Amino acid sequence: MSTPGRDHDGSAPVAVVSGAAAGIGLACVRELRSQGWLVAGCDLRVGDAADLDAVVDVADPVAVARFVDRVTRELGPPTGVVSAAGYVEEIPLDAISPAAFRRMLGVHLGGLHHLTRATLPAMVARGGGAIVAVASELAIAGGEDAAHYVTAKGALLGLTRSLAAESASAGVLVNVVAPGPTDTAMLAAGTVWRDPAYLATLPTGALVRPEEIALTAAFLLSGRGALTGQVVSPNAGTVI
Amino acid sequence: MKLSANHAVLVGLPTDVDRATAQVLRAHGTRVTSSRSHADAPLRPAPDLFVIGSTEARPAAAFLDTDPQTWWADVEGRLSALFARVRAAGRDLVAGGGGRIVLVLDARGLAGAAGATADATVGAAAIALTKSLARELGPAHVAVNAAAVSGPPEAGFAEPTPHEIAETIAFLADPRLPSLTGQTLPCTGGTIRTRA
Repeated sequence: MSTPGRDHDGSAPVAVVSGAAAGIGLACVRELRSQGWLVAGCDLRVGDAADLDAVVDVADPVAVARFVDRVTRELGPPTGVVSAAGYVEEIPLDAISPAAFRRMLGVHLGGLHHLTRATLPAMVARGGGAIVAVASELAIAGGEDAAHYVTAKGALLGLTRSLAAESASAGVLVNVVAPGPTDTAMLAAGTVWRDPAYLATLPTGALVRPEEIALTAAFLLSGRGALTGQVVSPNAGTVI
Repeated sequence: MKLSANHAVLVGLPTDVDRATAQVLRAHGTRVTSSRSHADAPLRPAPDLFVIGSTEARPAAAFLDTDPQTWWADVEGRLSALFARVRAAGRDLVAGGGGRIVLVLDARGLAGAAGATADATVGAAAIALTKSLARELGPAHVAVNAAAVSGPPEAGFAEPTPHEIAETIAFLADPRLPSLTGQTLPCTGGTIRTRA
């Protein structure tokens, strides 16, 4: 099987990372650049760590397509995608408004869908590439007060597995990274996730570091293990 | 943070996976001792990675046609060997202050396969062992994960090479991933997409 990121002519491969301005997305930008990728980052606020940074709402398919066109022109056609843009809200089920549900689905599932639609045809035409969706351990095991978040993250698993089956013969690898509670600004101070009593219940005793998610995403993008259709979950032992 | 283990011990792997894993780990700067090449070599420095196989090729055998004593002896023998290897590795790692175990198990333990009830039973037991050991040894800084290999061939999917399996093993062995534990990663080229 070919190595998805590497261009045939030996030039640096190009990756797109959404949610690139902070947290897991930012860690992915840094790790991929350190491994020789040219990285285009997008986020709702402009980042400064990628080779090309742009403001894009990934829930907007037109904006995503325009962004990928720009990346292709300025850096080259992307052969790697990390769909990391996302957010979490803790709301009980009966208080989740239809608008909140739609937005949650639009950013997480829409983000992966729109990025894939914008990049997959060129990967198939070139005979290789890799896509990584950042989900959550909650997509595997569920959780309280975040049914819209869990639904949206769970949807990524179904889309990823089907894309993997559909794209395998074209040499495109599609996988999920499902982090456990990760030490980023998204885990607010004062929440249960940062409570020492909670951390003591984890087999590893500590939060996941964003660099671990970035290493995992970078391994999946490299294609070295030829993995596809998988959910890889560095989760500190929250879901075993 | 170090990029790779100091000293890896490979036990009971298929010959081609053993060779490829040793090659990949050595390229990362890891000293490798393989039970296939130097069984009695002194283990210095103390190993911080054990890669333990539990797969053994068996001819297909329909369950209802299998002799019960043969089936039982096969499963018990393979699980006893796995138990002994994993217990020895766990004791060494806990005594040494931590490290990682990677089991290489039969992917039919996830999805089952006609004519392979013994292989699937051993594979599934190895998955359960991976999960429980991850919980039990986590506080001692030992991460336990598994690569599930030998999935069913399927049109449109490329079977992974020994080198690709070795790369997956090296990923599961990466000391920079303390949060990755208790996970079984199917390395079958995408033919198995369920999660154990």
